[in-house]
Amino acid sequence: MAGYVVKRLIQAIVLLKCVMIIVFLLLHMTGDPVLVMLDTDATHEDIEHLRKLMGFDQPLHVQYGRFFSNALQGNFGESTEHGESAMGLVLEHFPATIEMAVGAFAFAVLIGIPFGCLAAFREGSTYDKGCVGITVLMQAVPDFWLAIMFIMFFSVTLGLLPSFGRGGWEHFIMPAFAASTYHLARLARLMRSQMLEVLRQDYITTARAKGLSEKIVLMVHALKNSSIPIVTVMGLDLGILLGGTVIIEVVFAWPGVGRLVVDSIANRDFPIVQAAVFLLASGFVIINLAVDLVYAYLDPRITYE
Amino acid sequence: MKRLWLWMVVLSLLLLPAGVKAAPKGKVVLGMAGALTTFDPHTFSSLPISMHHPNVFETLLARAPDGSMTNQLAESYKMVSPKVWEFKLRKGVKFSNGDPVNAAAVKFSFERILDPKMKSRQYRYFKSMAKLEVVDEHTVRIHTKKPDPMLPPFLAIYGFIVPPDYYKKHDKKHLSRNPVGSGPFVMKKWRKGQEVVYEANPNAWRKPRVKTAVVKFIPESTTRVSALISGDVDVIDNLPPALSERVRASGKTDVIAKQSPRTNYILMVIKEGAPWMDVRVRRAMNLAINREAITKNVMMGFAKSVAIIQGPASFGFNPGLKPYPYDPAQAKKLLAEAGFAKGFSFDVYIPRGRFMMGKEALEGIAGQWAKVGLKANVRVMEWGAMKKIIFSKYKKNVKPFLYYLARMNTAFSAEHMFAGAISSRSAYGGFRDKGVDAMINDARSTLDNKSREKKYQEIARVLRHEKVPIVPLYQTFRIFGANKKIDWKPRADGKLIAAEVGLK
Repeated sequence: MAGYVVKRLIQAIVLLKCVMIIVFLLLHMTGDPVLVMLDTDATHEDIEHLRKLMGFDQPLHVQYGRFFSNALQGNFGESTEHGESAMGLVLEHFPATIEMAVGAFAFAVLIGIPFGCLAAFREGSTYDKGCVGITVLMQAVPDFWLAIMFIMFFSVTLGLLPSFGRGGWEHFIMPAFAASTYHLARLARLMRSQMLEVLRQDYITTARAKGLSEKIVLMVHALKNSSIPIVTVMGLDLGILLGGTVIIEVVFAWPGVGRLVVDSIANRDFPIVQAAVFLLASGFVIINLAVDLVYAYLDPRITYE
Repeated sequence: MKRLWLWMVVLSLLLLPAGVKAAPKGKVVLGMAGALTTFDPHTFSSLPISMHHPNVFETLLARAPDGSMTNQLAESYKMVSPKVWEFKLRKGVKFSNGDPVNAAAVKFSFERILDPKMKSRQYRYFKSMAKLEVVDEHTVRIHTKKPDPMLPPFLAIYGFIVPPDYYKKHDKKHLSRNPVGSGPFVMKKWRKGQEVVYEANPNAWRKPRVKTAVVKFIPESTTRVSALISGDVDVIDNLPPALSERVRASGKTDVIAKQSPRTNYILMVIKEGAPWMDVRVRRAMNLAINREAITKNVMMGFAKSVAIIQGPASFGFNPGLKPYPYDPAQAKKLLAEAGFAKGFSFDVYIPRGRFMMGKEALEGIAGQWAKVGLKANVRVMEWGAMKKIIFSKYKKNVKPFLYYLARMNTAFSAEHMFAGAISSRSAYGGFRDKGVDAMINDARSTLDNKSREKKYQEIARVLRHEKVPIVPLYQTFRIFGANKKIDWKPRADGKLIAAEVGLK
């Protein structure tokens, strides 16, 4: 097991290095950062002057070498727009992103999984049909539209919740729920179908025949055995929520990493994008590793070599 | 509790020496679209930043709300010789940390912008400066490399004066987050991406209209409007025309709009192989556009047509010039004369989501062009990617194209606009004409204001009637929404400056 973890961590380092090279090249393909930094009254002379000062006049491999040797020491350079450490800025915005991602994830798991289980237990009932209908709707509705409707209803019409920004729990409910809807619905549907499949297995019949109470049959035997794909999807969901709630962040003026990165891409603020991608990719790698380790607990037949 | 408060007010009023202005009271909350990246006043240039820094810092000169030049930290200024400007400073002004505003602070601040280590994007407005000379405590001289009559308009936007000791002592990150200036406010708290809190500066000689102003950063326009109507904020900027009706209909909020110096135009890559090498074609392209229909229907009245490139608030504006009339019959005739009776097709680029209603307006214009046989393919691009295309314009294998741009002329200067779009020095223009270049250079080096203004007016006439270098469109309005309790008049330069917002 320890050997497995070490092997995975080495893989992760190689993977992250590849990610950073790809991001570096992609960013430099999107165009000349100096052009975006100066407004349209700039002359060629002004542009060349700034290009020199910023070091963008050097060949790409020199720029990459400099970037990489700094990055190895944890230094992602200085943001060209903010004039301070890129990683520092990303870390400053990270708590807001984690708060929303964990909140949305909690909504998805705590609502989605029980709903899916209940629907499976009562297959074919009105509840089951309603559940399927609602989850299809939740997956189909675009989250930005839902977010705007939430603001219109809860903030403008009812005056119950603040329309934007980060603060107490009242600021957090709408964005976290809007970000969770797709994941919530997907988890509920997956849970339902997994559970239905498990419930048809022989060992469930055996468990029932043994005379175990229905509660134990469902909660211990059925739930644990249907969890492996659920845990995989949960890991993906958390990773996506950490990196991908940009639209919700923009709509709710939520000061997270997503918004910072989108602004930085538009401004060609490469150091921030590189620092953020590094952080989010690392998060994804760690979540994946955790998911793999949970498998062994859920299914003792799985071992790590 | 209430009574105690009342007594305190009465008591403090009694204690106030006669003649001292009452301290500002109350609080306003603004919701602004643009992001604020730094409070270091000498590094960056962008409209969102230029709406924040004047709260905390002051410049030698400034623009009054109506757009006219006024003195701020300067008491007076004059050109003592063609290459030397002399500024006399207002006496007794202090920074918020107590340091005096003096000639040494001016010298330090401008030299900080010129310092290559700062990598300042304002450098291009200061590059004509050769030397700064402290004459006495309140007199400073700017020596320029060559005569530069254009300096004052830029000293009304950039060149914020800061206390040298404080700015020498601290590092970049500290200075970016902890500004010290002489402006009406001090910056109390800043949470990046969330809000800035300003408090009245007790040392200020110009008082803000309220004690506390909070600016919330809200990038999404529907959210800004919701925040305004629900009362979470009192003023918002960048109100899209399509949402203005919702703001009016709420009963609690008003729409406040004013023509801004943001001119929208379509530029052409004028080079061998382009149908519009022929001036008749360029004139036809202008005559085929119904500007009134676009400003009325697409812009919903929040834009005004321009004759060439400047609006009425700008120095060098020629009031005798009218926008090109809508005359499709004449356009067709001119196209036929130039040998394009059947028209032609071409690409026209526009950046996504950058200019107010830009894509919608351009699609309307493409429809009007189609009526005279000009088939325009509207291509919506990401801004950085579009800049890359613009920079490839004179390459041999690049087919000539058109592109929609807009420029915010907060310097209200003709030179600034011509240099950005008309002169062949311009990195973003597509028109090269030696005669026009000579006229622009001549105007720029003319020191007498009156005759320089005349020269710019003449350039505008030549461009409008003879050269037709671009397709001028209109100046868009800056549109704001405000709670009815707010007392504020929009500025000619389109900036929303928190220190100027008051309560009724």
